[in-house]
Amino acid sequence: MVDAALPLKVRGAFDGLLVPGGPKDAGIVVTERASLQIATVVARSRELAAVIEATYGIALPSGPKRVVARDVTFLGTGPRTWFAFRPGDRPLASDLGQALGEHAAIVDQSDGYGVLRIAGSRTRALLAKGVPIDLHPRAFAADGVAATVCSHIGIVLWRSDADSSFDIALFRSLCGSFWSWLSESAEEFGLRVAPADGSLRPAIGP
Amino acid sequence: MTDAAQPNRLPAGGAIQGLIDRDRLLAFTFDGKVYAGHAGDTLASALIAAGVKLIGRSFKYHRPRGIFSAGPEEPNALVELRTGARREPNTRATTIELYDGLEAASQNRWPSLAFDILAVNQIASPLFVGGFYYKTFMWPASFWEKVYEPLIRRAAGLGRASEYPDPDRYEKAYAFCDVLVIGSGPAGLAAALAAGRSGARVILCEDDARLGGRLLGERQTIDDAPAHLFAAAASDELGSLPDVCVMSRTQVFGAYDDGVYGALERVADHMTAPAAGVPRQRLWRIAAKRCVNAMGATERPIVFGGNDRPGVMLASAVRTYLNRFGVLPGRKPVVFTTNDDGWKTVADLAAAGAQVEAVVDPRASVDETLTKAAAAAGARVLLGGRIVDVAGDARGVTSAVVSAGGKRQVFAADLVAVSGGWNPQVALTTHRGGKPRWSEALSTFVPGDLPDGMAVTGAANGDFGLAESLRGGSAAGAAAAAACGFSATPAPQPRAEDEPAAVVPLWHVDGGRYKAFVDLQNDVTAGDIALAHAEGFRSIEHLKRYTTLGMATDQGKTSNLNGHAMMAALTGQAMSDVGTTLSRPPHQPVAIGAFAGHHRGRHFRPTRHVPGHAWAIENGAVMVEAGPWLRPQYFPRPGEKDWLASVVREVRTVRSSVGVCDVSTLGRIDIRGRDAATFLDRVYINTFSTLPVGKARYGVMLREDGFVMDDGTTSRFGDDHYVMSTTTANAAKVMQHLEFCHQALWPELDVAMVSVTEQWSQYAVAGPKARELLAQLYGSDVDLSNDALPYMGCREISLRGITTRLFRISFSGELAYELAAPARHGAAVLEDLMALCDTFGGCPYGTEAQSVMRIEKGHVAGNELNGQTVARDLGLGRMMSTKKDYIGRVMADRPALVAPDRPTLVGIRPVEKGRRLTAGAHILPGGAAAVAASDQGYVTSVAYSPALEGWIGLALVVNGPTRHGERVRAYDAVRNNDQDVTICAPVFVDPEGVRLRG
Repeated sequence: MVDAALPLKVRGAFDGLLVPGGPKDAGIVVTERASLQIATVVARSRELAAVIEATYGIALPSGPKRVVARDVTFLGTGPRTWFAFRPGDRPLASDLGQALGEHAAIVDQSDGYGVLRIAGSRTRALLAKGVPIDLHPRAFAADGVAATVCSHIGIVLWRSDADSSFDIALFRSLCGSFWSWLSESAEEFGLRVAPADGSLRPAIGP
Repeated sequence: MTDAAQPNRLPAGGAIQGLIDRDRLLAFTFDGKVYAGHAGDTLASALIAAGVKLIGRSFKYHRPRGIFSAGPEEPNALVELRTGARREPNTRATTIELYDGLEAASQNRWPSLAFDILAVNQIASPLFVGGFYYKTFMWPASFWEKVYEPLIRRAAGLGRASEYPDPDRYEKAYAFCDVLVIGSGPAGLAAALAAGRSGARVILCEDDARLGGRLLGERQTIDDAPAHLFAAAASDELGSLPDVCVMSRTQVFGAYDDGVYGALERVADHMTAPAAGVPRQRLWRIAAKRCVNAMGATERPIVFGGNDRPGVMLASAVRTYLNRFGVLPGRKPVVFTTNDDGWKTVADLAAAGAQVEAVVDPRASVDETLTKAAAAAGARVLLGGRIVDVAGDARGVTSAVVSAGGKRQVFAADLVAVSGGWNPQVALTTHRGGKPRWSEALSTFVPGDLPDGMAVTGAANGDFGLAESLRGGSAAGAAAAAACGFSATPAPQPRAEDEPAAVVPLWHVDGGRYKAFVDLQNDVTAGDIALAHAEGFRSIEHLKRYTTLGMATDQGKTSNLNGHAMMAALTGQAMSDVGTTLSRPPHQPVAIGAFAGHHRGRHFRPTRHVPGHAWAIENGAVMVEAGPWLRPQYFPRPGEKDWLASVVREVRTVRSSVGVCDVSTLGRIDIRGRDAATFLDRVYINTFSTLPVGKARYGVMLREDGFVMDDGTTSRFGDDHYVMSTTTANAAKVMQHLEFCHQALWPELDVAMVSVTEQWSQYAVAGPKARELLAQLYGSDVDLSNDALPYMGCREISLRGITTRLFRISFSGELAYELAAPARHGAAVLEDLMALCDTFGGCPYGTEAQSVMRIEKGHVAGNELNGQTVARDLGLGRMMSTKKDYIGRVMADRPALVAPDRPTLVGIRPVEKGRRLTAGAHILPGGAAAVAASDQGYVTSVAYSPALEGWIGLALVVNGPTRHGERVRAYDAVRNNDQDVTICAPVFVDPEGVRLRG
């Protein structure tokens, strides 16, 4: 029965797909980045970069690059478009909206994407089975970002901080198909699912 | 030690013992009989070791055939490998690595390999000459499909497919490098070392399991040590370089645009079955900045009588079997060569203990060192000679007839080693359109214009000497690396010699008693070439089609050049004018499964699931594909005899109480900016700048050419904030269209759009009880009255702290809402909605009920928005604003698009009550003949209407709106449904719209 006193239940993009566990020496370790606040930022004025520099002290990249401004990461994903995220529960879209005013259109996408971190010694060998771009460090820099496909599924791909792991964001509806590809492709390397880094909380207004 | 089970295995410790691992014994079966071989053997070498000479029966004449080569060019020794679901026909015994438990069977024979009934085809061979398909089986024509073709297929098979689903997994993968080196013979190894040492990213692909190419099959030395040790050392060094990737068992099969190469990695073909989690094969797409093609060359045979008998073998293959595999293919060999290289075979055979009977060379004189060495081996030297015929039977060669010095001599022999020279592997150089160039000096084609970024080196380039291969490979590797910005440190060249390699052309020895085969795989004889010439099929492309020369698994690797040269001799053309047949990828057979990779069965393409997917499955929904999405089609209940019963119940429930439908798949686009209203006015035919905040409006947008592109409601949540909805099918197309309009047409507008389809789940709640249901969901402090949320209103409403959006819009014609909730709460909101729905006697409904209700209301959907209709056709002409410009406006005014007699939307009902309508039926005037000239339109959508208790339909009919009440003929030839229908208004239920405003 419906109990209006209870909060609405929450289901993550990979709920029912990822089950923590797997061999210790696995070549692939997958972690769901479950508690990201995500927003799409589309520039509306030429002053946006200046406003962001004033507010966050960083130069907003105009190409497929990643910059981190305090706790907010901006990924360049298209002309005048960035994929922004921040770990935790504090609503990102409304914060950005206040900070950037009419300089940008900010749209909450925290529910629209599933995000995985893929780590382990065979990370690039795994991604080679689905991603048609060159991820060698000489070709894909530490601050590299790509809006590309993996196994026919549109993804945003970027290198995680400092190490050789990669993060992948994809539309929520496709997480099942993506996981089917990933789990099958990683089997030969050994696959371990680590506990999600944080948990998804109820959506608080934008 | 001679093993009784391996009588032809050379003993360990002898002058020649091969590179096999004698400590590892592997058992295998061929045609059910058990044999033994060693790790490092191929199936072919193990069969030779075991004394098996007869491997299969030929394609057309069922002639006994043995092993002809030691590599992928093998035309004869095709076997069925493995059994059951993994049975694979036409695998080449020469490329199958031996593994313990291997099972192989000969093919194309019945009842047994030794006694094959269809060998009588040889007697009937005049029937089976070139072009026999076209000549023999032409009459009567009706016999072709039923009699001739099945007969021919049974008789001329190339093995049997497994007929079970493929149990194995395949993968596709992407690789990138600075330098791709193809082939690991001396040139390839030298190239990979030079490029790899420079620090460039190198991929070395080798078809074989082991690196070395010809170095493994010859008794050559590099730096005064056996050449195979150089290969091993190079392999170790390459393995130690961090940015060099050595891919063995990987065949590069095609060259494509922009330095892209296709390659097939046989990951697990050398095992009984792949290990858990490992694919059988992996298809690589390799993008290389530069490519060093060192694919080597293929030895070509000579065409003479009986040249197909088991025991006639390429000379280089004989040396490979000796030096690499330590097996002796014959004890009494005769060598027939047109070139210096073939003479090496004499010494190798003698060293292995064979008694070489004779060496036959058509040249009148050869280098003295060759004849001296042959004489030392005890072989008769017959210069100016040719083998005319080889006699033998299914047990193999028995003798060779040699013509030399004007007389014929017969030599008893069990092996005839043949060399007509070497053909560089030019196929990959031609995939981008380059034509090979004829070399008079080498009597063969060498690479001509190369694909961008490719260099060819070593034997692939016609440089056959060992020293020049090493030197050339090294230079090509360094140059390729340099082109990518890496400078190679000069390294000393390994010491090696260039052996003599002179050659004269000899394609065909005429005058033999026995059939002389040009193409062993397709049973094309010298006579067939002459016949093709006589009948006018003289172009080599015609020759190929007429005789099948060069087709099938070996793609003519041992036959094309001889066949083409024989045709050139008949036509008197120069080989440079004859050229080669066009070669296309793949250069070698590739399993279709490898091209599909992960994407087969339900993974053929990605599937999209809505947040409420699990709920729908748990509640018994029958799902239907809507593009990549899965949607509930209907929810059957016990006792309902078919889908229609379920759908009728769902529609009745909605119209009498309430139902809930998942509409999360509709496209949603968030549009913001000061100019958002202006932007929407330009993309929609109707006006959105006048839409008040808190209201939704139905909109139609056109393509540039004036035809309808999509429809949907767009709602205004703020002065500069709209949310557009699109149809499920067109969501991505509309998003692209809007982006194009902004970026290319009106970049000056302050507007930004973002797809939020995935951010929200959305549910239609429809029926007279819809408001009561939602009131219970949201709680009493939320006012959902007509005043607070009127028809076509929209609001953000908090649901237990979560911001939801509620739209008062209706597709069903009932009092209806669409509730949007953030996707993480989508399942929970659906569960709550359904729990409440139950208390009202409501039910979930699927796309079928939704479709019935929209047809009852005359709402257009995909069947009517079919890309061929303009707004007027759909009865939406009045929405086309005359006060503003919009995309498609000018083109929609073209005379043909405003003609009054265009097929226009109407409703239809059967004249005979209860009769079923079918969509797709053509509308003809009453009594008119069912011919195209009478056609007046067609039925787009039909449904059984529970409200009217009969079938109804929507149709596009010429002059439709003026013909309400007219009786016409609905003629469906496909489904054999011919009936009279009455044209009516396209709204069947509640035409005044009372219910939806309720």
